[in-house]
Parts: sequence; C-alpha cells; structure tokens
Amino acid sequence: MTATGRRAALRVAWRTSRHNLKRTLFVIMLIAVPVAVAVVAAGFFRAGQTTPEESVVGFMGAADVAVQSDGLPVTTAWLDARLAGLDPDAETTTFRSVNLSFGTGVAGPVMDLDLRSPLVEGMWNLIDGAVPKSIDEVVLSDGLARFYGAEVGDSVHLDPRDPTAKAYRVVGVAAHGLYWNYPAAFITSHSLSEIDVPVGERQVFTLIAASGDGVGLAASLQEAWDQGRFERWPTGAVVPKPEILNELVGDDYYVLLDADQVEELVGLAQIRTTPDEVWLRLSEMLADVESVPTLPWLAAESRSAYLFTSGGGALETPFALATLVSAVLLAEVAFIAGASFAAGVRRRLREIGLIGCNGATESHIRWSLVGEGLAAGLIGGLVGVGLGAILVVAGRPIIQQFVGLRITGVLFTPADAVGPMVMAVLAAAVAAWLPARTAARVQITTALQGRMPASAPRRWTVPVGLGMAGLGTLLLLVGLATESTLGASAAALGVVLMIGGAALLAGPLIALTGALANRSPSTLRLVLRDSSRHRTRAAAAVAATLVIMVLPAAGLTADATSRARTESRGLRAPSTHLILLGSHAGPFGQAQLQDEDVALVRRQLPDAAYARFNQIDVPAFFEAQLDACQVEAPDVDPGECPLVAEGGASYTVAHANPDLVAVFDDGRIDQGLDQYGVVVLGVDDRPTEVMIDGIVHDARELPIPAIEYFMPRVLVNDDIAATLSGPVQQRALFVAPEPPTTEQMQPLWYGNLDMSTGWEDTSEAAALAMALGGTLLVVLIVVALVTALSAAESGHDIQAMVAVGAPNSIRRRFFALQAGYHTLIAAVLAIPLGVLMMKALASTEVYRYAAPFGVVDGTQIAIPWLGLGLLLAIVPLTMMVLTAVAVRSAPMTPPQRAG
Amino acid sequence: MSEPALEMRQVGKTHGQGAQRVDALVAVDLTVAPGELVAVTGRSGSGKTTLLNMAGALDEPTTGTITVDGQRLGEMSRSELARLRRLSVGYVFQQFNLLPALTAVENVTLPLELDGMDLTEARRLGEVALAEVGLEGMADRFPDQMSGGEQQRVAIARGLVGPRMLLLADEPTGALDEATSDNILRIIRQRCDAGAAALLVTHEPAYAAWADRVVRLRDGRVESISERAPVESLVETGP
Repeated sequence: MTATGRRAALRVAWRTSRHNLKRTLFVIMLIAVPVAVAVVAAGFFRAGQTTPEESVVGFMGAADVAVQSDGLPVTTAWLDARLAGLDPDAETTTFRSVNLSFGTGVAGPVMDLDLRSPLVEGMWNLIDGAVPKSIDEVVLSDGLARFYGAEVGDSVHLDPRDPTAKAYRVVGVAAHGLYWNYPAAFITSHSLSEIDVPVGERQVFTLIAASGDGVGLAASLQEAWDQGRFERWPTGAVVPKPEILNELVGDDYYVLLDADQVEELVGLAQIRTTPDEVWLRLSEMLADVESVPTLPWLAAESRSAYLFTSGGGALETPFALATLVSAVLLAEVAFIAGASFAAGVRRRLREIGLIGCNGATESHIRWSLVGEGLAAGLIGGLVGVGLGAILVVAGRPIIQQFVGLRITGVLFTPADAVGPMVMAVLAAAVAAWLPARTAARVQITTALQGRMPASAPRRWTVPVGLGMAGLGTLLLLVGLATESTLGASAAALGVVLMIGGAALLAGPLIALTGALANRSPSTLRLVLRDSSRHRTRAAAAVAATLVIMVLPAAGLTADATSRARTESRGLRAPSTHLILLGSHAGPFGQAQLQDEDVALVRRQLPDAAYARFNQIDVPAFFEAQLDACQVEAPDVDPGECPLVAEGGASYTVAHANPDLVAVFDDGRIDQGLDQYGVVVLGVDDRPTEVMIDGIVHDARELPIPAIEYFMPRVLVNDDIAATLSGPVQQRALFVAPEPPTTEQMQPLWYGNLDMSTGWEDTSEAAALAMALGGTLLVVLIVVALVTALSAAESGHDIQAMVAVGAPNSIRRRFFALQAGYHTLIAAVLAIPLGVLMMKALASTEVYRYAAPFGVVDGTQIAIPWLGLGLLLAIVPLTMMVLTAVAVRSAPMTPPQRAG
Repeated sequence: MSEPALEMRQVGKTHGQGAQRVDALVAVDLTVAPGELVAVTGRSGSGKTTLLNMAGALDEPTTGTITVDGQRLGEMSRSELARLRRLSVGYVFQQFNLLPALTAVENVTLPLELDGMDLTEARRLGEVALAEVGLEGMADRFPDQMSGGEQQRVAIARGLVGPRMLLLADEPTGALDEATSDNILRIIRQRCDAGAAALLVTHEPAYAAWADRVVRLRDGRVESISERAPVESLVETGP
C-alpha cells in the first residue's frame, strides 16, 4: 500500500469520525475520562511528594546543620559550650518550641522563632504583617489563621477552649515552606516562658550556618553527645549499657533496671529465640513502674545527610503511576470502545463494501477503520490530558488541602501525559483492530448487502478456554506461594489467564444455549438464536461484563471470609460501646479504675448507660476451642493446646452484677444467669459449655456484641464468681445511645485513661449495596453499547417479525431479554471465577487457630451465597428492566394514517 | 479492432452443493466493446447481479474465464484485483452509492487516491469527471446536500474517473423518478459515446432501450441478445 493510499484510507477514517460525530465523541470521552483520571492521580501523587531539597528547606531553612534537643538545662548547657567553640563567623539561631492544643483536633508548636533570621528563610516565611515584639503579640501560621478565622489585627486565645487563657493580638501571618495547613504560632521568648507544658512537650532547635564542613560539624556534635550520654543518666543506672541490649531495650526503660535485672536480660538476650522473650521479661520486671524518666536527648543533622536520607524517585513515580492507572482503566475501556467500533463497522458495512468496489484492498479497509481508532485514541488522549491538566490546575487548592503540603511547583508535567497518551492510543487502536480485521475480510458482495456473515464455530475455544483457566489457576497458586516480584507477576498473569479463559468459554456457552432454544417462547428463542448467530459480538459483551463482575464476586467473598473470621471471635461492638480500664499506670502496669475516671467519662457521655463491674482474671475456654482441642490434642490442658495458643487471645470473666446486666438491656442475660449461672456474649442463642479456671460449666450463648479483647465475653453470677480466685480488676462499661462525637471523645483521648471503644463496621448490607451499585453502573455502559451494536445487526430481523404480526413491543422485549441474558451468562462465569480467585489467594494462608466461636483456617473461605445469589439475580434483572425502559418499541408497520 | 473492455467466456457460478446446489449463472458468453452500452435484463433471481459482480471482480466464477481490459481475472491475485477495481472498473448501484463522510469530489477521486495518485492531480481529474456529468461547482458538497439524481451522477463520475473505461451499473435508476432516470441514462450513454464501455443491469424495458444491445437472462442462462437503434438518435431524442 502506497503512502498516498494509506493517506486516503486515513482521510476516510477522519471524515467518517467527523461524520459520525456522536459516536466519535462518545468514544473520545470514553477514552478521555480514564486518561484524565490517570493525570489527576499523577498530580495528586506529585502534590503529596516532596523533593529532598524541599524537605530539607522545610526542616532546616537555609541552615547547614540543625540541632534538636529537649531543652533541659543539662542539654542546653552542653550545647551552649559546644556552640561557643564554633568559628566566630558561623551564624546561629536558636528557638524553643512547645506543643499546644489549639482547639479540637488541632495541635502544633508555639515557637519563639525569629522569623527575620536569614537561616529560617524557606522554612517559615512571613507573608503578612510583622514579627511579634511585645508579650501579647502573636504571628499565626496561615493554617492556624484559617482554623481560627483570624486576620492581622484580630485577637485570639491560643487555646480557645480555655476562657482564662491569655489573649494575643495577631500581628502577622507566616507560611511554612512545606506544609500548607501547619498549625503553629510565634510569640516572644518572654511569652513562651510563661507557657507551662511537661518537659516532653518542649524542644529546642538550633540552626547553624557553618562556615566550613556542615557534615563534619553535625557528626562531631552527635558523636560527642552520644559518647557522654551515660553521664547524664539518672543516678543508679547501670552504665555502660551492654551492647547486646541496645536494640532490645530502650534507654528510657533501661535506666530503671538494677544490676541483677540487667544481668538477667543479657543472659536471656544471649540465648533468646525471639526479641519478644526479652520484652516479656522486661515487662514483668517493670510491671510496677508508673512512668518512665525523660532522658536528655540531642540530635544533630547536616543538610547533606538530610538530603541523602530524603532520597529520590519522586519524579519518576508519577509517570509510572499515571501509566499504570491509565493501563488498568483503559483495558476495560478497550472492551467497551471495541464494542462501539464493532457497532460502527456493522452499521457502515455497505460503505465498506463500496470502498472495496472502488479498489480498496483489505489493508486499505483496515487502515481506514484502525485510523478511526487511532484518531479517537489520540484526540481522546489529548482531551483527557487537557481535562486532567485543567482539573489538576483548577483543583490545586483542593489538592493542597487534601495532601496537606504547600504546592509550590507544577502538578502536571508533559511527562505525566506520555504514559496515558500511549495507553489511550493503544487501547483505541486495539479496540478498532478486531472489528477492522473482521470487516476487511468480509466479501465485498456480502458487505454490500449490509450483513455480516455468520461466523463458523471455532472448535479450539473450549479446550483453549479451559486450558487457559486451568493454567491461570496454577500460575496464581504458584505465584502466591513464591514470595518475590516474579511470583507476584506470575499471580497477576494467572488472574489474567483465568479471566481470559472464562471469556473464551462465553462463546461456546452461548452457542450451547442457542441450540437449546427450540422450545422457548418466540422472543426468547430469537434472542438465544441471535446471540448464537452473532457469537463474537455476544461473547465480547459477556467478556466485558465478566471482567467487571469478577470484582464484586471476589470482593463479596473476601468480605464474607473476613466477617466469618471476625465473627469467630464474637460479635463486634459498635462505636457506641466504651470500656474504661482506668487511669494509665505506666507502660507495663495494670490500669486502676478511679472514681474520677468514671466521672470524666460520664461528664462527656451523659446519656450513656454505664456499669462498673469486676473482671476476674481466670482463663476461660469456649466450646469451639474445647472441641477443637479434644480432637487436636486430647491429652493437654486447653491452655496448652496449640490450636488455642495460635489464636493469641486470652479470655477473662466478668462478674455480672445487676448494673452490668442492665447496660446490655437484654432480658435473656438474666434468664441465662438464672438457668446456668454463666452467659457467653457470643454469636448465637444456644446452650453451650465454657471451661472457667479448669472447670467446665454449662452456659447460654447469646448473640450480643462486646468490645473485642477488652470486654470479657463470659459473664458469671454471684455464686460462680465467689468460687473464682484470680486477680480482680474493676472496669466500667458505657453504652451510649449514639456514637460519641470527636468533641466528646477528645478530653478522654487526651486524658490519662486506658480505654477502648467499639468499631463501626461496614454492614454486610452496605458492602453488598456498594458491590451491586458499582457493578450495575459499569455493566450498564457495556450493555448500552452492546444493545446499540445489536440494534445495528438485528434490526432487520425485528422489523421482519413486526411485519408478520409480532407486537411492536417485541423490539423492547428483544433487547431487554438480550441484555439480561448476556449479563446472566457473564455472572454465571464470573461468580465462580471470583470465588476461585479468592480460594487460590487463601490457599497460601497457613494459619489455623481455635477462636471462641469457631476454628479459623486461613485456607478456607466463606462463600456469601446470599450476596452472590443477589448478584446473579439482580444485575441481569436490572439490566433487563433498564434496557426495556431505554429501548423504543419498533416503529409501526405500515405507518399509521394521519387523520 | 480494439480489445474488448469486458469479455466473459462460458462463465458459470454455482452456490451450494448436492441437493442445495443452485446454478446462478450457466455458460454465459458476453463481450462488451469500448464505446458500447450493454443492458442486462431478466427477472429477479435470473443472475443479473451475479453477472455484474463477476465482471467487476467482486466475485469469482465457478467455471469459465473473464477478461477485463485485457487482463484475465482468474490469474490475478487479490491485490491485483483490487488494483483492477481502482483503475479499470467503475461501479454504480441503486443505493449506497457514495460515502456520506466524503465530499462529491473526494468520492470521485477515492479510487485514484487509493492507488497512490497525487492529491492535486486526483482532484483535477475528479473535477473533470464531475464536469462531464454536469456537476461543475458541486465538488465540495457532501452527499446529503445533493439530490438523488446528483448523487447518482457523482457515482457515474467516479465510475469513469481517470483511466477507468468500464462502468458496471446495477439498477442505477431504481430509486429515481422518470425524468431523473432519463437524465442519468443519457449521461451513461454520452460517456459510452465518448469511448467508455458500460454494462447496465435493469429490469425496466424502457431503460434498456438506451443500450446498444440487450442481453436477457433467464435462470442464469443467456436467453437472448438483441441489437438496438443507432446511438446518435437516442442521445438527441431519447428512446
């Protein structure tokens, strides 16, 4: 084919694209949207990344060395002595910083930083007003100014919740070089000294512009500090710290140990199998410690070292991300665009025949059709890139708000567009190629009749489809079992092969159902026969729908499996439940419940029902655990049974006083306690057994949620409680009518409380609704296109049926049934495939343990029969109804007479 | 004597096998000389369109030989056949004659451009062809901006553009009124008088009167061949 011939073919393509503007625009937008999404994703990623240079400026401004320390006198004195020895030309600036809560959910530093210092340049920039000079003046960061809604000249309390706090006049606004919403305030040194915060909340920063080697200076400062650190430890600490304990025991815990304990830990560390053993022993040693000392600390870092550790790669990633996102989205688009091109080709078959009559070769025809794809891909890509770039530029404030970083550079570079553009052109060309190839092979005389010839059945599809699905499963299993990049690639390839195999089987399945259509009603028979006759089109439609439906099938299976595993530990309490253990008693101590702790929670949750109760620390084993251990290890105590130990949870018992029973507000608990003396907060209402402190009791299990791991799931009555001899801890359970607000919870979070709350879980119905909703939306696009394609191909048959007396509604019924039929076949293939994929995924999970309400086997999955059944029924049915609504009836033949 | 534009010898076409075997054409002999307009008539299913498809290298005969412009179709590859359709044979149909996305002149020059001809030269030849069918000044109109008769004239211009000298017309007036049909046939007649050859399929006896010869087909066989009146008088007065 000559260049001019190719040009002529492309011109036909271009003109045809313009002529069929609606379809062309549809395909262009179809391609543009994923490209735009990819460009926006790259922009978001870029916005969320900082270059090493930006990071270092945000951290230390223009300084060469930054020294952070605790601000304790001993540290300050040490550092001052070192700084005095510096080159007289070296410039330094030191500022203090204390952390303060500025209001609900917003905390940050208050600093006496000199914003005019050249060393601060780029780190903090004064963007409005002046620096604070008097004790009642403050400069706010722009983030904090936004939070307060304050401007220069306004008056603010740095803690607005405290009406007695000092009021400051805002004299300026400063912007951090890196963070967009950084809450910070700048006041004079004198004012800062007035703020009383614990030592741990205080820091001192020294920025140094070294005249010589910054790296050497930072290293020498750090080395000198580290070498002398034992001198600054509390009296009585065992020094020096043995090297073997450096990685296992933190300095702040180590200084609390005596010589014997250090010796024991060193011995254990030398023979240990896991670090946990040392940690466990350390916990026992320090069980009574209520607080750990704040050891003096200092960290010096040079600009070069910071640059080095900040790393690179931020620039390459958006390109890869944009390419990956567009590839994934456009793979599905290729199916849909392919159906659209196929529809266009079939509608224009006579034109194609005409071109053939005028001497076009197969290659000319292919070029003219693929050219359309290339043009749509190119324009769609450009539109997508433009759209994405506009979104990224126009949405800059939103993106900035979302990522929290100040965006100073560009969020879109031409490099980000390269991958999506290539993918767009490729997807569109691939989508156009198959219909083009088919059309080019149609005999000219057949094409001139406007009908595609019926394709001969391909015998290889069934064995190849089955082979691909089998090979895919194998690859997925092998890939998952191999923990490497190669394994991940093999698993991904396996998934692709499984889906491809299932898609190949769609054709034969359609042909089979078509052959079984003899005794069905006429419209259904026409649908089945038509799909069978146009197998390629039908199989493509099924394949496109199948790809979409695999995801909800797999997702619902994963969700059901996760729920089943969670439920094996009992029903989870919602966020309205709160259990209070008491005041925090140091890192290793048991929390003790005090009256004031309970009072604080009651103040915050005044409407919550609450009860104080005793938790008795004796081991409790549930029926499922006892049964499993009976099989697994009949001769050992359940506590020693590996299946139970694997679960990692230990269960305790609660003494069910009337207040506690009342909080649960379930009369069955009282009945259970009266009848059995023991009630289990489980998953079902049934009689059960519980082994408490070695004695098996009959009990009643009730489906009542409890806070995981913190609320005992075994409630015992007074008689049984009296027989138990384990340590008793007092607890309080609160059940609020509504989930507590952040405002209500904040004082509790900031208080010195050990507590836990329930967790608002996505309900099964919500998960199903999300899966169904998303699936319906995407499947609808595929179905709409396939219906358009089918209308182009089968319109004549329908008109013929109307002509022989079929009702005009047959067109509507035909397309509705066809949409439902194709979606049903796709669902029939996709659902087992999705489940199989999750099964393959689970097969590599080797864990197995006995939880209170069932044995969890990592290799087992839960099949959500109801959800999958609904997916199977609702999606095809909805497609059928929507198509029936959208498609018009066939026109009246002959036309109605006027008047 | 000059070489025939189209020569068919013992051409036969069979569809299907065994009991389903249908003989669409049986041992047809037909020659169309340059400057000659031959009409093919017959009932539906008599093989008219099949004959035309064979002549235009759109379909292959089961038996016999076809020669167009001195080239034996049976000995040519698919790409050579496509080239023959670009350079030697023009087609006109009852409907679907033009590509709606191309202008009149682009429709006409399509075969030339597909063959690699320079665009300027192709356009010049296209405008000449359009002028010959009386469509000067309509080169840049799209088909939907033209009447049925004008569209059919564009199709004839395309059928005989550049070096093409054999026009195959399948019921070219089937969708047109009588006056427009006469006009179309007059143009075909004029082009044949200027040296082109044409094979015209029609089942309208009145239109066959424009032809030099009328070939009547019945059940795929040539039933009769009849000669017509001198060409000049027809152009002046109509049949």
